[in-house]
Amino acid sequence: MKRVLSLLLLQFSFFGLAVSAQTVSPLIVECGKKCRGEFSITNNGLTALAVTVEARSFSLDTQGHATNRPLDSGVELKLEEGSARVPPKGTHTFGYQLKCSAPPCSVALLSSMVVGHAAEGILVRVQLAHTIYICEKQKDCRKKVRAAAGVSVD
Amino acid sequence: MLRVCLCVLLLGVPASAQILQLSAGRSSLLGGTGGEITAFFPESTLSASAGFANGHFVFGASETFKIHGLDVTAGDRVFSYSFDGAGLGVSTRGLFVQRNSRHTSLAVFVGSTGFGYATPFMVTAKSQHGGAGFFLQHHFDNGLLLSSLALIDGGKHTAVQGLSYRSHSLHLAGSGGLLQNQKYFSGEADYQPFQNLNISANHNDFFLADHLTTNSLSGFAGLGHITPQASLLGGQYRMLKTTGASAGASLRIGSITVRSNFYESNHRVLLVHAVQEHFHRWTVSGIVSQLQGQTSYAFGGGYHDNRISLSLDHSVLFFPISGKGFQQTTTVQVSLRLHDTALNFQTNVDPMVHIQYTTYASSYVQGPLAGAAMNSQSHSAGGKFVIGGAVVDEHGQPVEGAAIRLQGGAVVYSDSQGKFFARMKHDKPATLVVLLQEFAAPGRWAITSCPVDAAPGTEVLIRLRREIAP
Repeated sequence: MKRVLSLLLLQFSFFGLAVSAQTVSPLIVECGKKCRGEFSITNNGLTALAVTVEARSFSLDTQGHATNRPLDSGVELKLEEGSARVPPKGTHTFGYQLKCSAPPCSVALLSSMVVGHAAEGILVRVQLAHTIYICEKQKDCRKKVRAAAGVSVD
Repeated sequence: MLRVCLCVLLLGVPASAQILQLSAGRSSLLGGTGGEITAFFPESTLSASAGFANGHFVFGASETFKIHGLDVTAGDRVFSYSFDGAGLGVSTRGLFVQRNSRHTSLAVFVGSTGFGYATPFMVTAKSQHGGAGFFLQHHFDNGLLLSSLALIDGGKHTAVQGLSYRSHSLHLAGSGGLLQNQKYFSGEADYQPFQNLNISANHNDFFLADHLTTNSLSGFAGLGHITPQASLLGGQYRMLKTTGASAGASLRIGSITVRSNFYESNHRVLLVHAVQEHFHRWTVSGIVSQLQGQTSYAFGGGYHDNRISLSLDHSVLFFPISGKGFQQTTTVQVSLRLHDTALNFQTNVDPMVHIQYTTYASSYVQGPLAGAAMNSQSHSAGGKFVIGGAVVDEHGQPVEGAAIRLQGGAVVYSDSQGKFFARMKHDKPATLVVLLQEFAAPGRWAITSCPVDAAPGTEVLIRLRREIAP
């Protein structure tokens, strides 16, 4: 019994909880005027995954729905990598540095994933967003951006 | 003869698989050495393990597949379930059937039980006696969770009921019954009236070589940059009672965290002061410990990136089994990823305060049914010199998912605008190769024009043509 318990503990410590599909973390970060961060893409599948990262500025309507647009001119982004191959059951971390000359800025780093290669058919792409809110001060930045947009829902 | 049959199974069956996962390792914690092949077929997964445990040859095999919405496993598996801090794991050989719906999960097992190993690199079982059991869990909409576990394991009987409730600020859980012929109870209460205040208490029964009972009461509060915490711990194993208390606080300023903690157990007082700083991918920590008038110093830290992860950690853990109470422990973890192969080494401290280790490697390889595979190394070279460009088709439209290799090993992919970039360490031209077989973009492609090399700071244009299927 002791051995079984030890084995289970070990198994959980190595594998964590089983999850399916692709995941991004963290989903949201808040920053001051200068921001240095990273996000991770986890490939829970059994085949390697080609991931490309694209940056978009976005604004919110009163319902909290985002509208993407090309990166604003006041936003300076330096991505360490624009794409990567994530191995099966592997995690890849993308680092970035971001400056916003006129806060607040709202930026989404969209990770696009296409699994496998097909000779025929259409391209099916999954996009997961890592969202960055930049304000003069980091604290409650997301709340301030949403309040400024008149978002009433949580 | 058995070993010959196993070799045939290990080498022959997976030859037609889509994806193969190969694992091998050794663990002093588990007293075993071995390996496993897992073959992923379109409709099923087949695993075969073999190795040595405590000097004896052990083996295991299982097949997992879906039928009529049921998850079925035939072969060796650990029948393991846990709820609210209670857990049971029994090595089994037989048939498992599991069905999951939105609110209910039901697993049923029939076969034999016995001694076994379940590790990241080997799963085996040795039949000793017949067994059968089920595990049922149902979520109610009001936050209640009902769990029920029943198992006959040779002459040992298990019948445990669990109930838990979770609301915004309160989590209550309790389970009890008979666990392998022994009375069992576990309870847990967690109260968080505010976001920055948490109080929790729990009681657990564990059955190792003998009965272990543990109790704890702990709390922490977040007061701006300062987080004070305190806890009381107690355990009884056989006739040995161990109690402990700890209190302390941490102060976080930017990337630096300073902690100071007091630990008391068995009339011994341990003071630990630590400073930890995170910067980018590095963590560095310095620890000063004071125990019975003696002061000691230690350093730890870690580095994590996409290829390598290293850490040396010092922590204080409570050991009720050995009666030693609070003890300082040191653990090492190293992970290395080379293409689709992962190498891992990790030390653990067992309940008797002995350091044990586990090391293993696992790799994914493409089988004959896998189709086109992406097999290139793709870690960025890093650096401040950027080579960028765009990929367009014969109509000048951007091509997404085109794979381009740059000298130095990095493979990059074009985005939805057809653009790509890579960072290089040196300010000199790099050879450019378009990898048609690695494209994530659908279709067959041919290269119309592509520069042989590209210099940092310049934009290259790659033209492709989509080929019509014959």
